[in-house]
Amino acid sequence: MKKIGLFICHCGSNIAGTVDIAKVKGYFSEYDDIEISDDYKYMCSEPGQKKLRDAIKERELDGVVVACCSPRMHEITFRNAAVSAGLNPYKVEIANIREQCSWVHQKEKDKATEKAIAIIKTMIEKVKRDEPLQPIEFNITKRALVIGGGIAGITAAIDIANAGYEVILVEKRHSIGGKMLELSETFPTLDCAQCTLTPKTVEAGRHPKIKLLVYSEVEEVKGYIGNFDVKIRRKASYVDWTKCTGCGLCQEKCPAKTESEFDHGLGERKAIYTLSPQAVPNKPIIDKNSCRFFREGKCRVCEKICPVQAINYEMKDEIIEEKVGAIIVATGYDILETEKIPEYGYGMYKDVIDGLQFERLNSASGPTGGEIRRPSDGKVPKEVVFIKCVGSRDPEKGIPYCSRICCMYLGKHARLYKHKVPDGQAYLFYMDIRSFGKGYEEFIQQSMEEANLLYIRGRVARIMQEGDKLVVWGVDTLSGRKVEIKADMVVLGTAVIPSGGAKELAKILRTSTDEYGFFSEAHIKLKPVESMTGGIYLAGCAQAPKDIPDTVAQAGAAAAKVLSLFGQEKMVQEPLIACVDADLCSGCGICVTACPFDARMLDDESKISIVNEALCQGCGACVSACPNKACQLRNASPQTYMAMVDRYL
Amino acid sequence: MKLILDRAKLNSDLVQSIKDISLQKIMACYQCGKCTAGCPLADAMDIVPNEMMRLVMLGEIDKLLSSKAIWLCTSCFQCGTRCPKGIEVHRVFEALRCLALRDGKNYTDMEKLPDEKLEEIPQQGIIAGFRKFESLE
Amino acid sequence: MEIYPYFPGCALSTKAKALDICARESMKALGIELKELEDWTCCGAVFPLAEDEHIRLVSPARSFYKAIKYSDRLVTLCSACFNVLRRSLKVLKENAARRERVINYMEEEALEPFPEQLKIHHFIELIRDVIGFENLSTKITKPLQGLKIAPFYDCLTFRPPKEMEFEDSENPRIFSNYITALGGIPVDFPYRSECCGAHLSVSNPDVSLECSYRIIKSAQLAGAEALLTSCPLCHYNLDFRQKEMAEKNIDFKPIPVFYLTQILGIALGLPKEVLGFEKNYVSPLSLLEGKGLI
Repeated sequence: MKKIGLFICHCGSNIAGTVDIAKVKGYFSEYDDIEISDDYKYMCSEPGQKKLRDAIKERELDGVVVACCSPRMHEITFRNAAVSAGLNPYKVEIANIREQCSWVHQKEKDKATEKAIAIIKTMIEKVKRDEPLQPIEFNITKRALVIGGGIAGITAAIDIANAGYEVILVEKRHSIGGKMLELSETFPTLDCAQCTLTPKTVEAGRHPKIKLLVYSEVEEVKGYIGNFDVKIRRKASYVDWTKCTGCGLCQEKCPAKTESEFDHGLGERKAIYTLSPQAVPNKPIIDKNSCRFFREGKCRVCEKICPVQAINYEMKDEIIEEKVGAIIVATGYDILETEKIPEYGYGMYKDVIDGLQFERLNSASGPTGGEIRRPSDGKVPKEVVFIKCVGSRDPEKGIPYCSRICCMYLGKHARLYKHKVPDGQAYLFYMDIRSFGKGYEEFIQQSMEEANLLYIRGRVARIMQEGDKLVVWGVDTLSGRKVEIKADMVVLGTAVIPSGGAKELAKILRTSTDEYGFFSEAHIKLKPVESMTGGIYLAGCAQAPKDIPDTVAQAGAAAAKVLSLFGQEKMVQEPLIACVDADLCSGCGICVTACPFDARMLDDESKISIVNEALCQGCGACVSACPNKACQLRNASPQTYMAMVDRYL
Repeated sequence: MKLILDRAKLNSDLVQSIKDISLQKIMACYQCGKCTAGCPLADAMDIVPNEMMRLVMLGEIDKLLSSKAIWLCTSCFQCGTRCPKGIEVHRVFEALRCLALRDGKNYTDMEKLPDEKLEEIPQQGIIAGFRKFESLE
Repeated sequence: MEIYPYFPGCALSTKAKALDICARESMKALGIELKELEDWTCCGAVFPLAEDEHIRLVSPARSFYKAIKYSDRLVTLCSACFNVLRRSLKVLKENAARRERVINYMEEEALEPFPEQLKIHHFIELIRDVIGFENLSTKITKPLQGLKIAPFYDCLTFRPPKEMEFEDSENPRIFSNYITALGGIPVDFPYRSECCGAHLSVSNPDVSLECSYRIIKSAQLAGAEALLTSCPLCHYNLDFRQKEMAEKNIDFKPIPVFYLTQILGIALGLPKEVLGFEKNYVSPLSLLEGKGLI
């Protein structure tokens, strides 16, 4: 004979308006195993919970059924109440008589009442069979991995390191700084990008708790929140960085030149090169594809000239293994291949450039030393057209979303252009002006008023080359007229897309992305920095396009989540997971392949299947896969469910 | 001149006819103007393509039926090809022409063309003229 | 000799017969016979853009039922026919409701199952896919000596791209590749795919004259010695109407406009009589003689 307490919630009129509470209460007051059948207007409220706690103590209940709303709402509330009264939380079950009864049968009150009684009967059967389970605890490795060395990754790494925990910062390129390193000035203050960035990169570079792994990529991640095993490939740089002093002689003397990726094709670099004058770490790598030694077996000038003999052509990639407890994804963004919008002539006409290329033109460390000159002939352009929404808000040829930063950065570009070429004219084609941030609208209005910029509302249909001019065909929808401009240079605000390799990285991390490759957040409003996978957090443009202030804020939030994880003694996991009846298990191994979380394996000695309690998420795939019915979910065995069905019938 | 809007106007029979004949999502247009920017005939039109789309959305069909623009369209398909929302703007223009022609009025009287012209112009142009500019009545 | 059913269309059968002859002779020289489809009916010149105009699909459907008896390919040379036939076939293949209406109307003419496997080919597709541009270069006897030709990528051959499924309408290359294969130099120019004014020549001739004039000027500015087109109406607008262009603009310089197959005939060394030069208002003879091509 059990002593179960039944508590029926009115939920205001949500339940009581349809279900006859008094009848239900009366029905169960003379029911087997029910010690007390009670009701209350709002069980989740303080007085409601007090009723629960008092009844548990006074009547020495060994199980509780709360007939109320969905367990998603208050299962935790009532389980915690039970714990504080001394009852095991897994002996508390919810009978959902709201979402699954009163709310869907509002016009059939009698039948709804019958159904509520039936639902409660089945949950009583369940709670009778529930085991008093204990939560599972395990250790946390209090080290963090940050993937991506842009402003998001650097901010998060510094925050975590300052709290005293070790951080491994992995970056694909051979120096940190990300896209911000390529920018010239940032909106809305027109601060020099490097001046704001380099204090952070330097701090990250010399922080005793930050382990910098540049020119590296994450290759494998196994494990679970609090206990990840990571393999990182450190690509061969062919330069021994422990010896290299960053003197730059090799770069100076190298005879091989090639197009610079950092300058987006507008400038050149050597085959052995550092990323930029402010690189952290300030060490070079050799690019095999352009190096004469690797291509033809000749040259070796850098080897001869290096004063510390740091060149090593035999270097191999290195695999570094690390254990971490949390991972932050901060892989940033790229821009859409502008060739996908062929009517604009990008790639065909040299003077049609994209936003990042303009940043390099304007940058003092760029290919023109900061002078605005057109790529084709080096002349200073006097008529410059800036086009927004190239590929953005374009379900047909590009991506349907808004890239968020283009309105501001193209407005900034036009303003910077006017600073450098005061007698030039800038035109901006726009559909809308999205200047939502602090100081943004004022910046745009000031640009219009002071810098004599002409904002034209309309899109551009085509750009064609005529002699040395670019003929731009647009429209001014506000006056209803077609517009033609013979421009010297055109700057395109191309759509922002996730960094290349995002989808592959998501597979390695076993987390999800949306259809574009942006990492998925757990809840778009309430959980913007947690990914769908426990222990993996998101920061910056890897999650969605955003500007620098929002990126830094989000990176801080991600770091805070990591710190709240590391602040716990141990990790606690719900025990409602899979378990194996050893007598029935034949060791066939089907469950091992069925498990999507790698939580099953066959024990080496006993040869039967075992469950990794930390990884198991209780999804039940193994239960349905097991041919012997040896695999079960705790407190959810087939016998329990059969009993519930029997009771209902 | 003020526009008085209500749901009767926005969903009138004429508007519904345009939607049925063209089978296009008129309300998807966000007035970017790319159709006008690329239309080779827009310079000569009194109402340019994006304005035409706007007037359909506002229910101002009569104004469009009495415009010159719909008869200056050559159905070159440049507008529909470029629309970022995938709207076949050329079909909306055709729907407007259909509404005008099905009312029994001709835009051009092909029979009034001088004989030498009929001799010179390839049949393709003449038949196209019949189809685009003359009522079936 | 490979044989393909061929749909000439109204203009090429009558007023532009010379161009049709040039096309067929050129193909014969390359080993392909274009056999005129028996009893074909006018395609209708414009594809019906209204969703409820089913009657205008009947004539194309007739030609499809006839063509499939000979081959699963139907070749056409006129851009308008190409546009109408290709799109009509696609609509009838994909829209079951419209297909039913058309078939029911056609009664005995459409007793066989609808010829879904039929494909409509433009003349230039035959050259690209069956003969091959590289192969073509080896077969010509009079390469065009670097003649600078500006290909006009007309509306009807390439648009709308989702229905025509031919080339990238923003960046078409096929005519340029054709000109290169024949030994000429293709000249790209800004107005290469802007409408010539088409049938506005019957209703608003001034407007269409302006459209055509812009094209001619743009090609000349880019350094072209001649233009190339595959649409009889474009040819009329760009070539014949140069008479009016000269009347309206004092310093207008005439420029010859070739029909698609004329340069093929020249390069294959066909006799002058079959090249159809009587259809060119602006005579290309002095240009060709200057290059030693005729």
